Amino acid sequence: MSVRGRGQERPGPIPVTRVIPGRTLATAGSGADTCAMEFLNFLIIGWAAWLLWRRPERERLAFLLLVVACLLMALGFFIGSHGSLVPGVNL
Amino acid sequence: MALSEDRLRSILAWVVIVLIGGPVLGAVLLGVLHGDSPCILCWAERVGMVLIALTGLFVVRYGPRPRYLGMAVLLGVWGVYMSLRHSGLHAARDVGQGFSAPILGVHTYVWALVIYVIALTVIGVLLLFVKQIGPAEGAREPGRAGRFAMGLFVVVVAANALQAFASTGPPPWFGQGDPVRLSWNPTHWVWSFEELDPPYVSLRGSWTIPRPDPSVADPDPAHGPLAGLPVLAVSGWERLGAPLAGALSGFARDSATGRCLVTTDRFGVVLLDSATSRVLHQVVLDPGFSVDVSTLAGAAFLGGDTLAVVADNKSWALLRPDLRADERAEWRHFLSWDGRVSEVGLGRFQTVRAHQMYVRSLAFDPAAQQLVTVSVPNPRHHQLVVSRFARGDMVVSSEFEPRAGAGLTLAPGRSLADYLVTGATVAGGRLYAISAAYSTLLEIDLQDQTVRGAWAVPGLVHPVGVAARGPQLLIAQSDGGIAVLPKPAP
Repeated sequence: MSVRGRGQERPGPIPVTRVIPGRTLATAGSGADTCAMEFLNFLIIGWAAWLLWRRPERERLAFLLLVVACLLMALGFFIGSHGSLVPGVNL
Repeated sequence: MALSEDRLRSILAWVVIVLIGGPVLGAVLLGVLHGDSPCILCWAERVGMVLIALTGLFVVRYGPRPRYLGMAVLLGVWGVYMSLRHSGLHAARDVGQGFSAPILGVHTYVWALVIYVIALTVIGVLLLFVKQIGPAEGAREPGRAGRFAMGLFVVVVAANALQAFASTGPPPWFGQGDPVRLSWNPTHWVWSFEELDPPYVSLRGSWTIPRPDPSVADPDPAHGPLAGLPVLAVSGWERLGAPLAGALSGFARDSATGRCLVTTDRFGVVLLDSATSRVLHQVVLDPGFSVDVSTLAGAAFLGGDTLAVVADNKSWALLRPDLRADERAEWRHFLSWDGRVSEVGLGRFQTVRAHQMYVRSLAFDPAAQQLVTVSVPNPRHHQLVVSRFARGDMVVSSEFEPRAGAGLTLAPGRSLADYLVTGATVAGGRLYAISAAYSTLLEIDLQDQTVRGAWAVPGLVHPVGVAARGPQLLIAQSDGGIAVLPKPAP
């Protein structure tokens, strides 16, 4: 059992699809079409900020990007906590 | 005092600078300087802060439109949820433990909660003082602070994107629960989908534990996990003579005086004479005040007139007959009281292995001065855990999962955790435990932690307690019937 991060929620070995560039890659698994990615989200946020700064007339697009980034962030947290949406304590 | 729109924009620009230049940039520096890598939940919390700052930049650029303010409040509330959920993973660990290194003695996920609460407070205070929000106008040129905030924002977001690329990978990979430390060497990078496990969505995860219901257990010994058990035949039947309000839920007998202690499913605790026909004392516990007492599930004599009862959630109460009991002091403890019982203790057993399991039994080991419980398995945790608690402080002393001893054969794919222990007693250094499932009596050696013997006891219906009486064992049922059987020789 892992003792870091979310490990305590998941007894037993954690099946990890591990991909290390430059080495033989494991199969990406069923999550390959999932689109909750931190890197992508920062690109979207950076794009929105760029619009605010340099193209303020594109407010609707910038706000749309803000909404998309919020949804991606929420989805990322949901993926990280879907095994137990509330804290692992007595309610 | 009221804030003009221009003043609000200027203040917000500084708020964005503080938020982005403080915790968000600080998090990046932690990664670069100390190798700190955020887990997937940390990433979401960090992104949430960035998005609150971005919402602030919208106000700096376009003024305080309602949808910006609404978005900022939603992000703040979501951030509080995220950080509470995240902190909940580690809040109950032993002192000093947590995820990643603490900053000023506090871990980052707790700092996230502080930051989100501050952000919501700042939003509230600014809204409190802002003048009437006017009609939407076009974009305005930000002031010096606004321009600096935008530039800083873009730089910090770019730095985060770089760290996210190394730490979590490009699409479609995403963050990990247990990331490795940040490295700029690509051979150290780990990009994964581990967070998709488990494949299901759950509200409470491993804390989704149904209350045990022994009445639905299969009583047929032939279906149990131990094959070919000898039969221990009931030699006679007795019955509790005293009337009880509710069904029997726990049973114990004092070997010194012969008195019996029973609990009921309506929080009743009744001390009976040795013939079980006369009530000596009886009270009804207050289950809702202070310690949460759920269904009473076991009873034990602790010696010296001290009585112990335990609920299936492992809350316990210690009582003592007391002819000088003070009504004003005891009123708070009991819903019904005979005037001659004092509560001497109320608390909760805390276990390690049985943390997410209920119990249905209580025993007392006089030689070791320990109280003993046996866990009830559930769909999430299939374990039979014997927990022992020191009489002195009621804190767990040891725990073990008993093994099948010599001569006992488990059927393929079965385990001792298939049993559902609803009554237990210690006699002669052995723990005798009766299982409502498969009507089986287990004899557990507390020293070498093995099941020394097991016997099928056909004819039992919903047993709730077991006690020793000389060479006999008494097994009480929820209907008040008591099966008498010879105590197996050790």
